Amino acid sequence: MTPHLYRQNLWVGLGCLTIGVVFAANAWSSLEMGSPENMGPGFLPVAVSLLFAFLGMIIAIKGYREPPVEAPPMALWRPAVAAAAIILFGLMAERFGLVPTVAATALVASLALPRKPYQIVLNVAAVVAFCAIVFNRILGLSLPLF
Amino acid sequence: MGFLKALAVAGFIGLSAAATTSAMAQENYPSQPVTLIITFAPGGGNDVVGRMFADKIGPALGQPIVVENRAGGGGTTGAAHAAKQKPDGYTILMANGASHLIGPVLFPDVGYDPVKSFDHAGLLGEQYVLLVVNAKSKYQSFKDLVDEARTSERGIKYGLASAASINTVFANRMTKTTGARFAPVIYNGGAPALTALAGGEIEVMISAYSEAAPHIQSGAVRPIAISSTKRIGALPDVPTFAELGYEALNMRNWYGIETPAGTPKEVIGKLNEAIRKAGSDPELIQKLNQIGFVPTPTTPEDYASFLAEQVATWRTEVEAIKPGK
Amino acid sequence: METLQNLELGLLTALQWHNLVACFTGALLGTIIGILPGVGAAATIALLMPTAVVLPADTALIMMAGIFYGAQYGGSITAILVNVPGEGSSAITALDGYNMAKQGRAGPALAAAAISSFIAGTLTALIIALFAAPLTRVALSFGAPEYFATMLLGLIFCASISGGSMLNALAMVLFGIMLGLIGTDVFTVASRFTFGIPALRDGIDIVTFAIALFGISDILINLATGLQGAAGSRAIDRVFPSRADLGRIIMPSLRGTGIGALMGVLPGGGATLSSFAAYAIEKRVSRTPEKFGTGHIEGVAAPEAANNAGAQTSFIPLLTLGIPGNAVTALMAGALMIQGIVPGPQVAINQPQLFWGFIASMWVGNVILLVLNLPLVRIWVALLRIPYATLVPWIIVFACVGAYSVNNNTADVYMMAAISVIGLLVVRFGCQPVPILLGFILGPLIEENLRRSLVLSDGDFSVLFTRPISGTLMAASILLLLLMAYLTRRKMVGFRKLVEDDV
Repeated sequence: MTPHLYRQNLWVGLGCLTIGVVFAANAWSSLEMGSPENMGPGFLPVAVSLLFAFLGMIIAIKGYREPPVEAPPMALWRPAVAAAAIILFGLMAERFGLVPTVAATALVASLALPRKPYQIVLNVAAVVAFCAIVFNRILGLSLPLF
Repeated sequence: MGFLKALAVAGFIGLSAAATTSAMAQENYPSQPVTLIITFAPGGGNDVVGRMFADKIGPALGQPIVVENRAGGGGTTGAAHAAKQKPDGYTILMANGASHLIGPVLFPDVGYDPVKSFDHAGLLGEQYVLLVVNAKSKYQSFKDLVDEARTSERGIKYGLASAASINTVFANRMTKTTGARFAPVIYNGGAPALTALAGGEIEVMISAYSEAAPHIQSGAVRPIAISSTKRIGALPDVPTFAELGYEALNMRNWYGIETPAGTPKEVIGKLNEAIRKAGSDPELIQKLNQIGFVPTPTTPEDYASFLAEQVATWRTEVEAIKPGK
Repeated sequence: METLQNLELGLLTALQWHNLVACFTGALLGTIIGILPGVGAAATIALLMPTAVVLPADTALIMMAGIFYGAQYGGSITAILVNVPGEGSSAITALDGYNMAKQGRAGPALAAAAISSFIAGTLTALIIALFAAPLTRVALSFGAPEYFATMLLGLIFCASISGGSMLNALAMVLFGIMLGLIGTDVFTVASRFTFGIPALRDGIDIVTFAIALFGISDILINLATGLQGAAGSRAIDRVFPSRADLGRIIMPSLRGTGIGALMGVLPGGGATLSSFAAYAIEKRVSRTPEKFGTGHIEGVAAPEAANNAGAQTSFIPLLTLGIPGNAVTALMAGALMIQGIVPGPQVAINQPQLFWGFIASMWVGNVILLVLNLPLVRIWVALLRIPYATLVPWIIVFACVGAYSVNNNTADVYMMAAISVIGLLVVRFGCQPVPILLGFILGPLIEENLRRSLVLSDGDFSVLFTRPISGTLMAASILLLLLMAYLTRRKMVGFRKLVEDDV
């Protein structure tokens, strides 16, 4: 496989430029600007976002002139699974209680890692037991067990 | 026939048993701990009053009260959560001006109606707006302040702990009623505002006794006038605005207990009884008095009509502090 | 003389057996809680509030304080071992601490954290006993212009912490400011950058933000790169620091203590900011600034001393004025009020036993922490033998519970997921997350105090320069900027010369 070459700072700059423009537009359209002596809620948000976009432009130009670098290899499905585990926690916490939520979160998070099934089961069971005892019994977290 | 009859009898018994259990559930209320939702972070004034009451309402109900803080959205996050719970009396909400008078007007998307989404169990009590000045200030009375604000070109700046609170509405009312030039300096909470007052960055602040008490006792800060209808026990020498001729500046910052709409009458009755019993406990009254909070026991009906009246009359004043654009 | 008598009374109170038990329980619980990423001191104290209000006032206060500084230390343990800061203030410790752990020097790093925290704790307890009153006056003399000038100086000074491109670092600071501005405007209650999501109205919680940006995103990066960063770095040389290590800890600890003690008095995030400042200053005074960020023991000692000192002096405004400066002290004030004690200057006069017992307990607590943690270093280091793949689900679950418990709100959990993905992208594209955190904390404070200064001065900018403290600080900021510009220019001249010579 040939290494994937790309201009890193070009992408950084374009990202900053886009985010800056979107944020500036959002603040500009929804907030009062005021004046430098009497700043409204939108003054600094717009100023900072535009400056951010401007820096993004400079970084992009700089990045375009730089020679491309090799992209580090990345397996994106693993972090995606881990992030999904966190979101699952949010979805389940107030509907199902602590034990099922923690079990599901720990299980999904384990799937992001190279582990044997029995290791996963043991580890998840340990996490659940620990959370039930520490958060529910000792600290009195508001989530019920089930 | 024997079989059908038996079935009918069994059905009847079953139905009445079901009816009794649901009636029993109400009669037995409370048979498990009750969760009290407080809409601000632990440690603040709301939380302190709520926990003090929880300590007394619990024994009066015969079940412990578990305090759950759900802060956010200026008191609306917790209220929205409470409105969505089962109306069985096991989740109760500590309502206040922030969650019921201000939040729903500022943010139309809060997801609850301050009157219709809840049943109203009873008022806990109220505290008042307190106008304080730095101890070294030349202002000795409210009249001094108003005179200065009317005559001086730049007017008078006062500190305010939030841009949208009971005190903000009070400040606007004060400016309007006196016709004087008062301008707010907003701080991010009571603590920094009081530091600024004690340090002399601002000379005047619209506060509450519970916030200002330590500084009044240490002599760093001087109370000028209070928004209660009659003088309060903790500050017998501080005149009310009404005494000074500003009837319109009577204002109370009340706290009440609510349940999700549809709670059985019996449950509301029991809660109200427990609230009233707690509110007449001498130890609690003494502790509340220390922070300038006065218990005001009511019936559920009186509380409901009081709340409806407040929501209606405050709307325009709260609209005025809504941000533009 | 009077102070000595007071200290004696305090020590006698703090050494009563029930208070010792409370102090020990608090410190132990705090350490354990601090290790669980995301479950911060404030959340723990909030959860334990019902217990605290039934204890006698002095015992409750001592236990809560124990949790607070126990958590400060515990938070640095995971920062060092697995690059997951347990508190916002230990994000900086991770920079060098984690690199030390990677080099097999986790033991010395942990010991350095414990020893520097102890030095800071002991000195700060003395500082509070002797200088609480003058420090209070410092806090009171700080108005909006002074805050603005301090924060601006801090931003300029600390922006140089991170390595890499200056341009990219500046962009990341701005990005942090933008994220920090998310929420409700203090002055007008307008919703800013909320993009129609009600949950964003309260902004992003700082602890959740730090855990997501450093801890969770580091896990995501390790997962993405096939665990190369996390594995193969676990050989352990020695558990305790060498004599040379100990010598290198002393001065950074003392400087860190000074910075932390001063900044802790200022309300709002003093401990976190002081750890940034201490690190930046250490890097400046060091003869080998390039070693910072590569596993330099000074880079662990200075911020650890600073955040511990800052945590302790943050009690000063509460004790002398009755004004809580951060979430933890607000909780303690609330607990006192529920017990019928209104915190404030009268407490020292009416209840000297409570007041001085509390101050003495800070020192006792630090002794307990040291005694507790030095032997435990061996156990913490042993945690490194647990395979990374086993640890990850634990860390993720703890972080979720921690984020949830801040406000009992699942929205914070979603925000954590989103920010950790942002952190992954930032690192993936060769940028640094530290300036983002800096902008996130300082940006909103700078804006707020600038706007308040202008309201107070009726729109006159000169107020920032004419007041003595803010004027001095502003001058320092400008000098620093000029110095940085000069250095950059000189570097460029040198670079050009190098190129020319080459040709």
